Amino acid sequence: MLALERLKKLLTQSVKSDAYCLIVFKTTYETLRAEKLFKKNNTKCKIIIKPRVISSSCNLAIIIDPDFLDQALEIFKTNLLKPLNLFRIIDDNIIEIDFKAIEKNWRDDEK
Amino acid sequence: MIYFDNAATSFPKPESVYRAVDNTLRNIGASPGRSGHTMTLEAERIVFNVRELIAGLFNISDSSRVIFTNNATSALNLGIKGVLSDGDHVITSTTEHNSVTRPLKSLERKGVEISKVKCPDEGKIDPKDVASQIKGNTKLIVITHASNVIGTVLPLNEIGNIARKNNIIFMVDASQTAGCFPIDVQSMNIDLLVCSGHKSLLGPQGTGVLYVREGIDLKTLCEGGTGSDSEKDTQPRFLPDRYESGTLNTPGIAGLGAAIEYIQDTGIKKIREHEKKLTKLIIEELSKIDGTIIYGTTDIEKRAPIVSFNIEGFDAANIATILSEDFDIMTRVGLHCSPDAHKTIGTFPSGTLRFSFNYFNTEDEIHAGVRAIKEIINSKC
Repeated sequence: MLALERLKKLLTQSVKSDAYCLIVFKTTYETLRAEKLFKKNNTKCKIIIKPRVISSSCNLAIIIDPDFLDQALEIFKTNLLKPLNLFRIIDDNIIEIDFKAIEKNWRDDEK
Repeated sequence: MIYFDNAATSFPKPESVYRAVDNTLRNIGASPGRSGHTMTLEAERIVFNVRELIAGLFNISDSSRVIFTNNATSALNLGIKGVLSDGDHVITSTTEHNSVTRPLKSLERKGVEISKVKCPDEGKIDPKDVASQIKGNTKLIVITHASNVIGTVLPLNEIGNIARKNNIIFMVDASQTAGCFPIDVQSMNIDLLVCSGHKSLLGPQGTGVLYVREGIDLKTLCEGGTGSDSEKDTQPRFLPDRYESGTLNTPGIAGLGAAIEYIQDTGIKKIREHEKKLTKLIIEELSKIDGTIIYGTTDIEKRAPIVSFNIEGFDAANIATILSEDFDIMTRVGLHCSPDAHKTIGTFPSGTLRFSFNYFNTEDEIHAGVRAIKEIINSKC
């Protein structure tokens, strides 16, 4: 799916391992808002050009270390940010994380 | 050189504005929201950060509702024409700039009904007169915060309350007040706020802002590339992209951001106090000159730093020319693109001579301006 070797080299600036999470928002505005919030909360992240195979109106994506995923989700919850897609990428395996299910759990917890 | 034409555009700018524009043009030249490479990301971050600064300045909770435009005129056109349709009624005042009056006139020909509330007493407006104009089809109230001719400040809080109670969209033209008067879109019930970036906000020309409250869906005036939803041949629904087609003025926006930071660092209160002092001084000094007619309110608290006047027996244009040519003092004469305001104060069509100030003007400059006026008058006698 991705030009993995080259990309992984770039990603090492932001992630500790071969694994990383890729987050896609609907808009550039939301992407930059997420970046600002991540930085404010010391969540290391990097914006990259979104791989073309992922469908979104935004050209960008954010990558984070999987260790920071829970922290990122908490930031989304607190700031009402809704990613369009969330992926966990380990080597060549791409696993989509169901954000809508996570949101449903949040709503259930509030009830 | 003395510059008293800040209501047209502010000069000089804070040093940081020049540096921000230069740095952006020189080092961050890419198009924001487009390619995704590091330079374009840097440009996009600048735009995002300035959106956030503007949101903070006006207590806007969601900065994606801050739209960048070329100037206040394009923001006013987008707001007015985006809201109103055939059969709607709009209430405005008789102290508006042509950037409000002309779009409304254009819509009148397409079936929009206009009521202009008179501002007879020193350009003031009685909120009750606004309320009395409301009809079943009133969709919008659009007024200036302060007249660009006489500086009189209109009562936004009261009119905003009337609009909210009657479920009417409230639009404010803050071209002369943003940055030197406190503006809070939430407490003032402002649904659409328009600012010029280059006047009291002290930014570069080519910048304007429109705030659109959540829940208001404006028709688009301009469609095109947004760097988003590119596979579709229709405009994105989401903001700010929906109303920002084409490449943004990133250097200008960067300069505007530096200007807002300067205003925040200095403090609106301090800026306002300084400008009030200058306005009070010029009114006091001009009042001592025989034959001087000063227009607008004498209440400095309700006046932007703008003073329009005439001197009996003198053509204001001749005075302005001599001030410019012989004294190196820049002022503006004529109708100031606001014929309705001049009709209101009885100076149409000849107009007035206008002095308008910003934070960088000094009391010494005021005295120099008054001395120059006296010399011009005496030279004729």
